[in-house]
Amino acid sequence: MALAYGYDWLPQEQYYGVGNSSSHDSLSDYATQDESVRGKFLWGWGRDSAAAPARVVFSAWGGPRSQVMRTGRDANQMSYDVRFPALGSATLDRRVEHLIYGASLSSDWRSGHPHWSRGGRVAIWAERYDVPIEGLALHTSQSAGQFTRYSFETEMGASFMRDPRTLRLKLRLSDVDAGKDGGQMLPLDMSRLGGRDGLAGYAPGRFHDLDLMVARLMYVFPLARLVEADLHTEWGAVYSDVWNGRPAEHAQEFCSASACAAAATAPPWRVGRRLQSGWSASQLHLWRGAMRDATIILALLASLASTASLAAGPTASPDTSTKAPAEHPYSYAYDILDNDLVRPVTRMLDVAWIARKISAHPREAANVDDRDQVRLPSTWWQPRIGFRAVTPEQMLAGPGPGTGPAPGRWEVSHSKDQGVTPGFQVKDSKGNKFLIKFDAPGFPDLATSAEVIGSRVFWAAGYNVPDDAITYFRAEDLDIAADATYTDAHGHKYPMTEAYLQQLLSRVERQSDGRYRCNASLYLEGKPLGPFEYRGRRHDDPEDRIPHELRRELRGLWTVCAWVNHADSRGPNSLDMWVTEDGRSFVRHHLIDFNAILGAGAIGPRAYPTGSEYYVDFGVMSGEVASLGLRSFAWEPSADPHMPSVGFIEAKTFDPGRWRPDYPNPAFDERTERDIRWGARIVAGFTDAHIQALVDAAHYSDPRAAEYVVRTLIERRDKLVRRWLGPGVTPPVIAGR
Amino acid sequence: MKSMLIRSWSVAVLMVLAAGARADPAPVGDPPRPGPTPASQDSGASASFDSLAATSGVPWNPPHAMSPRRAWEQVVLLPGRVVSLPFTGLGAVTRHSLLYLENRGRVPIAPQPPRTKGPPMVGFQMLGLGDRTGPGRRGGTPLATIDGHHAHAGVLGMRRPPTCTTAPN
Repeated sequence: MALAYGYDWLPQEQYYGVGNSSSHDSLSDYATQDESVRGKFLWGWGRDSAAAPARVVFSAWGGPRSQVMRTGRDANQMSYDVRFPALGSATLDRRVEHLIYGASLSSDWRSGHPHWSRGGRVAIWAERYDVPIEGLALHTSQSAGQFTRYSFETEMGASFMRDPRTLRLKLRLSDVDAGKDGGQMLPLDMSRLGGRDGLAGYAPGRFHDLDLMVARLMYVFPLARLVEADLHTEWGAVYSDVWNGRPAEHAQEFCSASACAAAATAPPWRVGRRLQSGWSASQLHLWRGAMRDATIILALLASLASTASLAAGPTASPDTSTKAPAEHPYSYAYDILDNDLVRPVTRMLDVAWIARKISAHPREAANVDDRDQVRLPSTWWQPRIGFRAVTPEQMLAGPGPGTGPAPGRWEVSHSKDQGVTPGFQVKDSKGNKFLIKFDAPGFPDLATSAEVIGSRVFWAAGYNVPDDAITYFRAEDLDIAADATYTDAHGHKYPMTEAYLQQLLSRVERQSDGRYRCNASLYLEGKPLGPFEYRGRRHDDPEDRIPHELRRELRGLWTVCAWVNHADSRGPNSLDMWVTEDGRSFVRHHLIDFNAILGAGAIGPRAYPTGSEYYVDFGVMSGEVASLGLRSFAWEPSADPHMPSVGFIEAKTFDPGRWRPDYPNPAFDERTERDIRWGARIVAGFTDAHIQALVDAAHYSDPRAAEYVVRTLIERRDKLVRRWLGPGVTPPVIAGR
Repeated sequence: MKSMLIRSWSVAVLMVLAAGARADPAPVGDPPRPGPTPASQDSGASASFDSLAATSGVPWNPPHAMSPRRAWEQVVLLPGRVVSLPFTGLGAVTRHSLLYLENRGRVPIAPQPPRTKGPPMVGFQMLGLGDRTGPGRRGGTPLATIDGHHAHAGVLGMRRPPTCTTAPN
């Protein structure tokens, strides 16, 4: 139940006269002041869940409304009282009131994801504009014409294919019973078409009359992972009496196309605006809004492109000082914007890159010897599996003991302030600091298992990673440090309280015995310098003389990432540390954050398109536009294991030739076949025993999940090795053991 | 005739560039063969190669910092760089602006902390921009919560320019 007071001042409403045949040349404008008080009662039932909206809703409302028409305020248009003198003399500056009351009933059984693709909805409502009651009148009891509006609206949809391509039909009908009192109906109370009222290709308020009928046929189809498009056509008309009108002769037609972001997954960002272009009455009109949007986007792309090209430009002589480099500020949003939107476009303008493509002479990795192997030593990579014997036990020990925090109480010192999963920092009873991360509610083991498997895989593959372990604790085992803080959404720090900690724990998965399962990641030694980028160099590090996109270790990392579906392999998931060892201080480069590999997204399962297309994949989008969405996506034949602790990963549709991360990675983009084969040799070094040991270390509570992950990793490894090292080669032979 | 000349000129340029690419003295060698090829160990390296632990040795590096582009690539890309120079500042501003917003929580990069306080007494938010509506603001304040039902008072206002989206008919 609600009571609302409203006041609207609309200074420049458009009016062309009454009927479908009103001339565009008769454009005029008017202003209105509209004041109302409305009481509303709403009752709904048929909810799918307590939090879901009601499927069937009944509402009733009533209250006075006062309205007065004024001269239009647009200096460039003729006011309505001049263009239509009869209407002007009857309405200008005359305040009128109505007592408005009505009721509606709607039923909504639509469903589907990412857009509604099945079912439909029906709504009917009636609204009476009656003589005002003197005691309730806002200003005057002078009434305009009384009338009753009956409206009916229905919309149905049906879809086909796995990623739904949906056809929708919408019909809206409005019938006004004007009665016989002969009072003047104000333009704002008439049925209108144009703009958002229907027939969007026409100006708002383009057609006015008592009744209207408008139909809309829409085809919604996906273009890529986060983008979908709709093509629609509208057909409609206004009538003095819809039941006696002849719609075929009066109907106006409008067609348009639009594209908008879909919420198929939880995206890190959304395209905020809908771009549209359309044509009406068979005449093409490119909307000014679309033109403006396109101009802004192109200008932005161009500006960012220049930054990107300069970032990859000539490098300065290295600084030979031995002091610690400064911390590298890294923008997460810019990384996505640059790599997923700007760089793919500007690459098409890169003459040198085009020339290399045409001549089939890509630039090979710069830090390899004449046997095509990485020159050592390297602060990025150390030869392990694929190059020397690494037992499963050595792999499980990884970079540290792999045992997690020492037994005893933990002291919480700060909340986790990066990434999308909740967590906090703790100090164990021995004084070691760990970052604690959890599984999302409803997805037990998913993220924590992925993290532990990932850290072991990438350590065994030769990369520097933190020491991760699965750990369990109870809320009673936590103490809050005296100086513990958390950071709010606006970057402000506050003292951490018990209430804060309890609320944080209420948002993570909890075991049936009351314990919390978490991943404990031992803090890396040294001073953090921020993430590294997958291109360019750190100019204040004298030992960083090779552009990162030319490094074999980073290019060949693609192969390992493809194997374990590390689609989150990007700059922000890396960390440079300034370490001092053996009397030498230097920058060591680490990969971090593996909780979004295998079938895990950071806060739930991976989306089906993971690995087969970027967030915004221009190549895939082009194909979908050309085929109007009828071309099947590469992932559509895949089978979801439907296991919450596994998420979505499978081997059937895994294509080892064209696996892709969430968005383009500059070093991966420069990879050549040699880089891939170098990485394939590492992947081939993981035996079935290694894979079984990896999954055992993840402590899946569901044995079916463990078995599925082992089988999937083996199948993906075999596909990848056969693709890049030859069909007749089995992995253990390649590994050279 | 003119278009043919332009096309021929374009092809010639691409041929020259392709020749440059072929002349690229990138370090190449035989493709890796299946088998236990050892990783490269340059002279002067640390003694930690046999260890599985990360090395602390001085890393191999070329004598001078490398450019990501060969000389011929830099030459052919120079005009584009000059032309795009005016946009460089805007790109840098975008990068720093996003970083600034992230550091102040305006662009979320971290998990939202659980709310331990009630909603603000008076809040304002931007209104959605619909057809024919300009930017607006909505403000409001909660009045009371009785048995789980909230009472709220608010005001909204927005500019409504007359024709911001449509083409003439």
